Amino acid sequence: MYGFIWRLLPGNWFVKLIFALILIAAVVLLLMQYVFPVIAPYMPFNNATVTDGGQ
Amino acid sequence: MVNSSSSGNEPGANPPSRPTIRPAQRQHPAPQAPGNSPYPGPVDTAGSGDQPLPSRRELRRREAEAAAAQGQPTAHYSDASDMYADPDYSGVESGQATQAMPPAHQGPPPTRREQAATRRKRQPVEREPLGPVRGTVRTFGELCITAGLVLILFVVWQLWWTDIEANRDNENLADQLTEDWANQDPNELPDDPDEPVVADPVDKNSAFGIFYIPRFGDDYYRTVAEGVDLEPVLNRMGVGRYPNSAMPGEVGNFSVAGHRVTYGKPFNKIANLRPGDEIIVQTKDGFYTYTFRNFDIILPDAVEVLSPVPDEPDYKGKDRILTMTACNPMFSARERYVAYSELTDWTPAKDGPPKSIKDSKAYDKVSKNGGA
Repeated sequence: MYGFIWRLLPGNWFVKLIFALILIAAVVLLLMQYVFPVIAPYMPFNNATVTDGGQ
Repeated sequence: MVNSSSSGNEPGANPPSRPTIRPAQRQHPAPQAPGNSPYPGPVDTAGSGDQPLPSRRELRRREAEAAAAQGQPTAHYSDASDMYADPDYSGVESGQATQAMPPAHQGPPPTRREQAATRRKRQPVEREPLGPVRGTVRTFGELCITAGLVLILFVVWQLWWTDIEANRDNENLADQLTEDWANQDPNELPDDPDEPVVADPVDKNSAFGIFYIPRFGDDYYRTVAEGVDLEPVLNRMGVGRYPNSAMPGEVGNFSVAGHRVTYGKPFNKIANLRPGDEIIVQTKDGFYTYTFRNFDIILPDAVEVLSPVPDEPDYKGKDRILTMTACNPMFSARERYVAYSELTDWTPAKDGPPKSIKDSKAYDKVSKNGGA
């Protein structure tokens, strides 16, 4: 998988490295900005309130 | 195999250096070449002691050509191993050829160069094909590693990044709030100077006050907003007020919830509160000083702690109570930690902050904005 992505990237190894770093940064940003906030409420350690139904 | 065994007998008689074989073998190239050509494998070439070198070279050339034409990787492998095997086996074979040292040096080098060149060319061809099984296993492994990295990233985000974001939001919100207060007139004071002003209710998800808790740190302050939804109140606006509970200064139970871990963790040190500790709530109208009395650990559905007389939902009560809830134990949703406090003092905004926070870093920071 990673080998395949590496082969898809254009240029020599240095250009590839830069592209790869940009890709990694984009994935991290996507996860932290959009994916994790959606998942977090389902995690069992963020409940601070008392409610009728519990949780 | 027969050949190799015969060659195995010879080395005892003569142990000369490697190159010597080849010239000796050259002496009878013609008869051997045709016999060898159909079996170009490494065993053949390596094992046969009487095999002439030139024919081998020719063989390799032919092999290389054939392989290049057909694109067979096996041919290259045999070729490569041949090159490595050659020196070792040649030592064994060398029994026959002791005389012809000089020409030997001329012989082998081009062969190696050729081989090296062909190997270089062929390397990518050898690497690329990965069988369906190995390819699947490798991809699966890479996906597992990726999943692990994503989980680690999630933990980092949850434990570290949410704090950073929430603290930044908290500062911005507090600045904004004090700015707003500076542009608003405070409510009219009641006739009785001891009676606190009751803060005006605000819309859902909007901030109306700032918590100072000296026990939590000299620079501790958190905004308090209406509502207890995770988004946006608890996750980004600090502390949240339970809807329908009392407002600061009102008779009844002013109940709030806050994260104990992550998202700026406003109530991280809630278990450090000691009876007598002050909890100061600043609003547009002034400063409400609540004094911590006791705590309890309850189940998540124990909503009766929010009633005007905690645990006694049937009574109306006459005290002004502050109830703070947070999760307990840390990083768990199994129980809730509740801290009860009682209003003990109140200072109108025009009289300035109470002594306990007057010189604190937190109040310094908040008041710098020209707020109350």
